[in-house]
Amino acid sequence: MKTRKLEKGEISVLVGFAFISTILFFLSLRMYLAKPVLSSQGAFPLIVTSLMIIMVVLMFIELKQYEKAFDNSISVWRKIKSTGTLIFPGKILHVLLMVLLYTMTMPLMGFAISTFLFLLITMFILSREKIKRIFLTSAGIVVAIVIIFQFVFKVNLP
Amino acid sequence: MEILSGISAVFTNPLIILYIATFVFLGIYIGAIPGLSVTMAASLLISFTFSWDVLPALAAMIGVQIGGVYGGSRSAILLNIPGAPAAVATSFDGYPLAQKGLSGEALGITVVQSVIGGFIGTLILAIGAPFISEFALKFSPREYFLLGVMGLLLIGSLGSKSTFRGIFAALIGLFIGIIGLDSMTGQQRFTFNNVYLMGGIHYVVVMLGLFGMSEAIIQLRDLSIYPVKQKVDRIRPDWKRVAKYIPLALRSSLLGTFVGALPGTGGDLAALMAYDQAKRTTKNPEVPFGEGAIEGLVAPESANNAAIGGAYIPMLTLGIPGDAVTAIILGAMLIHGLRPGPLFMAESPDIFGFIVGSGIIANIFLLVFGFMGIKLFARIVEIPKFILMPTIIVLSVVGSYTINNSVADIYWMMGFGVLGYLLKIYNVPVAPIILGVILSPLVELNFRRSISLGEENLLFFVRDILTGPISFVLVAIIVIMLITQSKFYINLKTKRQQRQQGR
Repeated sequence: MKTRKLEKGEISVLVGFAFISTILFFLSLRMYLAKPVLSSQGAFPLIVTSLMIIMVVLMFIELKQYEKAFDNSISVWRKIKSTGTLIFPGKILHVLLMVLLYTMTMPLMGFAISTFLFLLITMFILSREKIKRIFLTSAGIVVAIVIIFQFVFKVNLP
Repeated sequence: MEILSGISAVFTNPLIILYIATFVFLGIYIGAIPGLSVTMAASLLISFTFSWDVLPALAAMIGVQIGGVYGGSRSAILLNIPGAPAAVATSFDGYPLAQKGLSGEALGITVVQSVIGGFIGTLILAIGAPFISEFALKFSPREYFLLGVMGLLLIGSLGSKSTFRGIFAALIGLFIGIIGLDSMTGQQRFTFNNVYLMGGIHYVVVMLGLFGMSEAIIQLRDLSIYPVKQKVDRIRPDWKRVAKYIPLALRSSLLGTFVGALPGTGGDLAALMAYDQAKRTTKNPEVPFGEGAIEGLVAPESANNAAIGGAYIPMLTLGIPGDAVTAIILGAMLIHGLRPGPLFMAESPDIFGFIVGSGIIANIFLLVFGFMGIKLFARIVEIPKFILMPTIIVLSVVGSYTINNSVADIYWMMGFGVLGYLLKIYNVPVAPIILGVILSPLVELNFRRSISLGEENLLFFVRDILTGPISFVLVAIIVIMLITQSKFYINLKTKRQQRQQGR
């Protein structure tokens, strides 16, 4: 009985899990073989990674009962594009890029300026509201975070 | 005696009372905002409170947890969006009541029932934990190893639609916990000679990525969802009804505490089981279940708050968290140098008393704040996602930096944020990862110790497990769990039910 349809890219994700689990398994095996006793530092990782591989295989078997996400007639390029749209709908990719830029610029610009710019640009991308309102909201959040965390909680800000 | 002095330390310290009050209040609104979870709040809180003294930090955590579990019911009733997973069952009858214009009454009942559940859970924690702790002193490394495995299997299988995905997630967590210097030999494991990996990946960074950033990104997938609000002017309890449903509240609270005490379960499961139990046992409800039955509010609300006290029992006595939030609180306790486990009651009875006392005070404040602030609630749930979610990301960044004052931790947090986002899209639960990371040292160390005790022989290890009375019972529980989660058993059960219905 086919109870649900596979998500787009679900098989690729499982292939990714299988690939990573296999690499980790061989790294663990190498560690275990350096001192092949069960209480050594390599034994537990070997057990964990072996179980990871077994779980991935069982997940693959489980997928068999579900309907495929794509027809066989659809080209690989369209499948990739469609999966990309599922993973990064709307403005998610923009937000992720902004987070990356934010972290990279933080050591250069300092916490307050980089956070303000991150909030300002991200909120603008997400809402396209009036820039004045977003400007004031971003500034307000930065001031609140600095006051609460630096002065009240005595936390070191980046 | 020291337990009592720990309890009285809460009642006699105005600053601690203020902390609890503040965080119960915050917890209610965090729990009420759809998209902000108690787990997310607790993981953010751990990163900001680790430099505090242990008592205020614990008070803050307990306050947020108790307020947050209740807070989820507000949005469940008024918006039909459970603010927390533990409030899913509350929406079944809470929202129909709100649609009938009875939202004030519904909210009033949930406050009182949550407080009843909270008190019973705390009482059972206070009475039961010392006994379990004494019993746990008899545990050897192999029993600890089995307990850890049991906790991981439970959270892996119960928290996910697919048992294999849940267990795979727990294994990812166990593996993350392995990274760094081996605590027994000091050798590097999976560090690739990277200095940032030698100390391992801090579990708070993993939590912030998986529960903070990933949840914020998931919420941004659809910015166009707007809640349909119900009008409510005042929260008022109908005391006659409250009194009428006391027996059900007591039953549900006991069930909630028991379910909460099972490692890896939590308030959501407790609430759903209590709802199901109420539906089966209530012969003639005034209104059918699903259409606004008061019993449908009483059972889950008393159960989910009772489950909080229950979840602390395995966490404090065995070092095995009951759910994701207690896993985070366990992490907070470890940061403050506390060692939850069988010796905890002997080593830190005052802290145990403090936790019980904080639970009592937090429930008293829940009763106070639960009847207030409905207008503030209306304003808070209106905060648009495009403001809220980037702010959560900034808080996750700040939180991950503060752990070691290291920018590298921010990158790790981001990496786990993206991983958590992908896992959530593909229905792989993230809570088992956290439990795996936290339980990894306990499971591994006890496995290696018991192997060493068994002269490095796997057969001796198996023999010891099967001949030890406690370990044998634990193995039997694990086997039963695996069988009952298997497809073969589920199919068999479904066929039997279909046959019974056909008769």
